[in-house]
Amino acid sequence: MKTKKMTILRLILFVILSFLPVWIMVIILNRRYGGHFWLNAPNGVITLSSLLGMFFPTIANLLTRLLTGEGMKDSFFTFRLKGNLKYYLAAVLVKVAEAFAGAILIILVYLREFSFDRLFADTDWNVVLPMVLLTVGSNIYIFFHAFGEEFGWRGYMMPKLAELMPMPAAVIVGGILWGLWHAPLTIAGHNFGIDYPGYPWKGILLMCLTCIFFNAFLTLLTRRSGSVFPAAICHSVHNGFSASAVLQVCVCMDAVKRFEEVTADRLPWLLFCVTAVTGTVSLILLLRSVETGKSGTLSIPNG
Amino acid sequence: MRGYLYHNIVLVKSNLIAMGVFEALLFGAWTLFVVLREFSGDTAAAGDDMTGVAVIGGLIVLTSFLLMELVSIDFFKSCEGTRWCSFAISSPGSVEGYLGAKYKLLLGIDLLILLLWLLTDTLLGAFCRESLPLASVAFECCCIQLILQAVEIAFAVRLGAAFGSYCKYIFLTLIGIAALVYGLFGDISIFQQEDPLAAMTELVSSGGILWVIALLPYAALLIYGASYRYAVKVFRKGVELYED
Repeated sequence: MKTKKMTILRLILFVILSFLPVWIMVIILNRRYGGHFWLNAPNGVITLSSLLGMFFPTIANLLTRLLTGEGMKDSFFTFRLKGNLKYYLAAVLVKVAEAFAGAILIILVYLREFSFDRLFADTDWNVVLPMVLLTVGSNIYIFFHAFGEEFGWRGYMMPKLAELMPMPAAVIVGGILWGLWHAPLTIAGHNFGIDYPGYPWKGILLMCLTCIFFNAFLTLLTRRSGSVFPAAICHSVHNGFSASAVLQVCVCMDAVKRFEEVTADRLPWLLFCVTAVTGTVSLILLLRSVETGKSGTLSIPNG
Repeated sequence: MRGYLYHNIVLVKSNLIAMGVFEALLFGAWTLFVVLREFSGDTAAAGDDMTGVAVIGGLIVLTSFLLMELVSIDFFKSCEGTRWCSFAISSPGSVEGYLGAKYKLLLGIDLLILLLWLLTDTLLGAFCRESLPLASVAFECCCIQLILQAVEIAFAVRLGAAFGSYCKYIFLTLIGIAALVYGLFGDISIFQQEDPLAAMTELVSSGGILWVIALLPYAALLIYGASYRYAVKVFRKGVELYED
């Protein structure tokens, strides 16, 4: 009981320490740049604020451990490459596959009037393919910003939630917390802009749903590998290589213009379907894992 | 693993500190250069030529990675003794853990330099209107540095630190000779154009070179991993060459 109370206390402290700075930062930036700072602020400020913001969960993790005397035990801060290379590969390949699947889905749903030849009439594959490889490669190396989030969410929050409740519940609650953490940014225009029906609540709902399913995959990677690094690399590739990015470089200008006309309230829901499929499969694999046991602890695997 | 990491850091502590100081000077110099340009009004918008800025920036990035020379081979040179290596082999982590710590630490330092360039770009981009983004150059330099380290360490483990260094310098000399030969007999019209920076950007964005740049990150990881596997395999044979 004492351990459970301590876990709850640590979790509450972590949530406060990770949420508060983001809210404060967004309020300050919105006041400085006249509301919806994501749409109004200079690019440099947006980049700096997003880089800083992504490290708040890591700072929250470290501060919570320091303030509660937890130490760095079970921190998942290790590569654990031996026997786990397949999870590092899965972290990259699954996200790349999702991006292409999303692009194909967009073509099938919104670009039906374009024939295959017309769609790729302007495409120089000698430039497009290396650009795709370079984008993915750079996101594998430059994963620091994603690590800032993952060391907090998967490295700290998820193990704590898994101690308190069964794994499916932990994944859902963790996803909702993660989605709500993004809420001030969603309101500021990040992710979906502000011109959609139901702004901002629909955006926050979609963000929470996406985070739930994405959380399932990232938690699976972390638990199976015993390391937070595959999740960090996966998150980095997810941020840097999307279905929209694939379309922007692959298809003709007319198709890009047509695609850009698709409103913000329809496209994210379509792409959410792809994330939902990966998340569902991940959740099933998590449930079937032998290591979960009845208590659903996110223990570090032996060896 | 922690024990091995601690051992490696203690071994090259003074070199790491020296490297840290030089890196701070380099980053400080670049930041000062960009900020002074911003305040003096020497910007591309004002008609200033960016080619010189790009060359200076590129050289600074390259130097920041070459500073790894201060530490990389010292990780192995300092441990070249039969007794110590025999102890390492008999430790719980054995050869894999012992060498793995060195490879991971070197990779970590390379990625740290890359992170510092990313942070520098982000900060300068936030406060200066025209800051040349060097993170992409740093990224490619990081990949090249990983390949050089992989070659050097593999030879160092098998044949000694000195031999490993020679191999790397021979490798670099061959690249230098190839560049010189190309400069003497190849097509260098790109450097004689009105805007060489734009011409080089276009060349890099075109087919052949773009494939090399795109595949370099993957090749670097594969070569680094292969170097580690080879080093583990030949470590015991290498120890036989060391002095007591």
